[in-house]
Amino acid sequence: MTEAIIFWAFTAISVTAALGVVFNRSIIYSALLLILVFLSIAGIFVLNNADFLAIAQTIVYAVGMTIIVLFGIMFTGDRAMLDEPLTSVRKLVSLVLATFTFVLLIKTVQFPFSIQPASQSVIQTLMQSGSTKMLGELLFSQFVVPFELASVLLLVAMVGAIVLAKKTFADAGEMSSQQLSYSIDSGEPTKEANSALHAAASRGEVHLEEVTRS
Amino acid sequence: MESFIPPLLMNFMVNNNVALINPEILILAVLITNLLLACSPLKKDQEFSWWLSLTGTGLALVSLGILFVNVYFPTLMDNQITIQQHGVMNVLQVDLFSWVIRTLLTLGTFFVLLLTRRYVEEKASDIPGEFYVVLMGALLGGMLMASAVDLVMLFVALETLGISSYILVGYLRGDLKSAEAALKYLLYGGASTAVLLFGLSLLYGVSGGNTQYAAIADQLQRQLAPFGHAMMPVVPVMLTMIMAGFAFKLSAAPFHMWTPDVYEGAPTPVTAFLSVVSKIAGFGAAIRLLYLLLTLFGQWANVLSVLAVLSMTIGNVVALKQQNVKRLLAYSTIAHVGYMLTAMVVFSLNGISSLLYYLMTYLFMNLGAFAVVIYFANLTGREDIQAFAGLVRKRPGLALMFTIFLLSLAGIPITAGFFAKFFLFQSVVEGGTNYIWLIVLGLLNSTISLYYYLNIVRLMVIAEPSDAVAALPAEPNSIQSISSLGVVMTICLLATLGLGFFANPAYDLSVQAMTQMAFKNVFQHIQVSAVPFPGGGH
Repeated sequence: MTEAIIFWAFTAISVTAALGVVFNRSIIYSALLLILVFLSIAGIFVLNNADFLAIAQTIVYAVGMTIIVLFGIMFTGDRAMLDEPLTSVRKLVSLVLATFTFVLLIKTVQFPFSIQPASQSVIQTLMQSGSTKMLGELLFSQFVVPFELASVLLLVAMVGAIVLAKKTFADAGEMSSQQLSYSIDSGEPTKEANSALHAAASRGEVHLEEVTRS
Repeated sequence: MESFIPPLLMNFMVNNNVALINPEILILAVLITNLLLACSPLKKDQEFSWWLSLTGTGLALVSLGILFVNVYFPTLMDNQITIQQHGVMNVLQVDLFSWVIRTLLTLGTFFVLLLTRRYVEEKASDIPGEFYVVLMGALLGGMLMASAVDLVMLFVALETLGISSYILVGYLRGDLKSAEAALKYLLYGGASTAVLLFGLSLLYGVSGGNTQYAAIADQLQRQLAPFGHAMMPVVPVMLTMIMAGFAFKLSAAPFHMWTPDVYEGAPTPVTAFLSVVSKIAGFGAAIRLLYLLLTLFGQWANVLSVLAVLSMTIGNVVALKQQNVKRLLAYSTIAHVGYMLTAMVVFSLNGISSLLYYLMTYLFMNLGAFAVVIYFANLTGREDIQAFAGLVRKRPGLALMFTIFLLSLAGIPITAGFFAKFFLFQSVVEGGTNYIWLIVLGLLNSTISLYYYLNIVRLMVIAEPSDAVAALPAEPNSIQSISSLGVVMTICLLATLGLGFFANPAYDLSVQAMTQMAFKNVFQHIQVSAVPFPGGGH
């Protein structure tokens, strides 16, 4: 009984917060509400004995990812959302499609033919030592190849992210980015900074309007 | 060799057939060495990373050859199909089918490396080493995709290929088109991966919590018996999601929207990589998984026929009005994916074998065409079709090679492209009268494609030289300029003609590969008499 109450409480929180993420006008509030969504879903995981998943959800999504989202928002500036009328055709079509998919998925999972209940021994182990140990054993036995490949995947993704993000003004001109940002901060770009910027702009790498505006 | 490896590890490796994934291990070693090299003071030495990757990929090819002689050739000589254990660590099935796919992938990457050399140096000269790290990562993901027989393995391998591809597409950092292409690819790719993963999770649930294909087939077969499968709402949702996910990876219409923009914006060698290596890897994984699913849910193959017809038609019709040669090849890729999907609709042994043969020929003819495009772009800096006008006056050899690749893509006899289409459509005919309309549409589409392929040939041969061609020096000025690209073009030319002349051995090899794959993956666990299901349900 209490379990059901807690479950519905978490569900209500996550749905309300998710609606808030979508409908909130301020993108910062949306991002903060996203944390609430992730946390309440972590709570549902706990109710299903998936303790490891709950912790991973909290660490990776609720903390790590949303922090990055917030950083991203703060770096790019809290721009006002586009004011699209509430009843545009695009939104109506999206609404119909989303409703259709929602009903379809609900129908799908309602069907009795689904995942089998876990065996007694699995439940025993879960009660005694939690799912972390079992997951760890699986990762290092049956799934060792995907596990190792995942590390390669992360390595490549990290290298790629650095390669793509390593774009500085210094690449564009001959001078260091420190000098350049200094000159921009002081409001009057030095001669060298100006020439470097124009060289970059002529190659299409930097938009002059943006630089001068900042 | 043995003395370096502790006996316990050695036992483990022998018991798990680790030797079968030697090529993958080699590629991983190259990846890591390249990464260390990029961090070292040597990083200014751009040549070295390239040579290292090329040698590594070449060694992987040699290793694949050794595997063929030692492992697969004996089973080929056996007329009886012996169920040899080719499983590696429970998640990979490294059989002859995966050998063919992996060889094609490695060969494709080898050619892409040859195409890359000057391109990366000129356009992205400040960070060349990392390019090869990411490229090797993509190859590794693709190779493991081809042998994956576990949902987790499939997904991680798919993502390794996917994420590496997004990075490669955006590699021209100053270039806005490249950035736009990478962002589009990332967003579309992320969404489609989510859909695919949802489908796979439903499959996991339906099969009672199994991730291995064999166990899934077993379980589904047992669980389906009491139910009329037509009444399960989960099956159509699951199949639609999985097919949509793969259709995106293969850029089949209507999931093709990203393809032209990404192909145009990406660095040209990367475009070649995407259009050949990614597609072959995608088909490898799709054949394995869909073979299992379509054996059980046969009538859902009709969904694939819609995808096939849409891809053929949209690809060919939109290609007609393309002005950029990279965009043209993008739409031509979509059309070819459409042809190949017709074989999956029938899903007979012959159908899938001809698909495998089609992939072999497609590798060479498409990479050959891209090699010519890159060579031409290196000479003139142009990518529009009009620039090719009158090429035969200045570079007859180049024009001749391009003509042969285009004729092969169009499916004109004596080239391999003709035999590929011939086997493909023949297998569809064998599938029964239900599929006659597919053939008719396929042939109609081939005719449409003739127009835009031959249009380039017409321009090169008949039209007056464009200003770009007119400005070319009379003869290639040095051997340096033709070295690596020339090698690719020559090999692709020989293979395009060779696979046509020696179509039979290649086709036999694909039949053998498919027989072994089908036998081991599915029929081992499912009684053949129990499938296929009657079309209308119960």
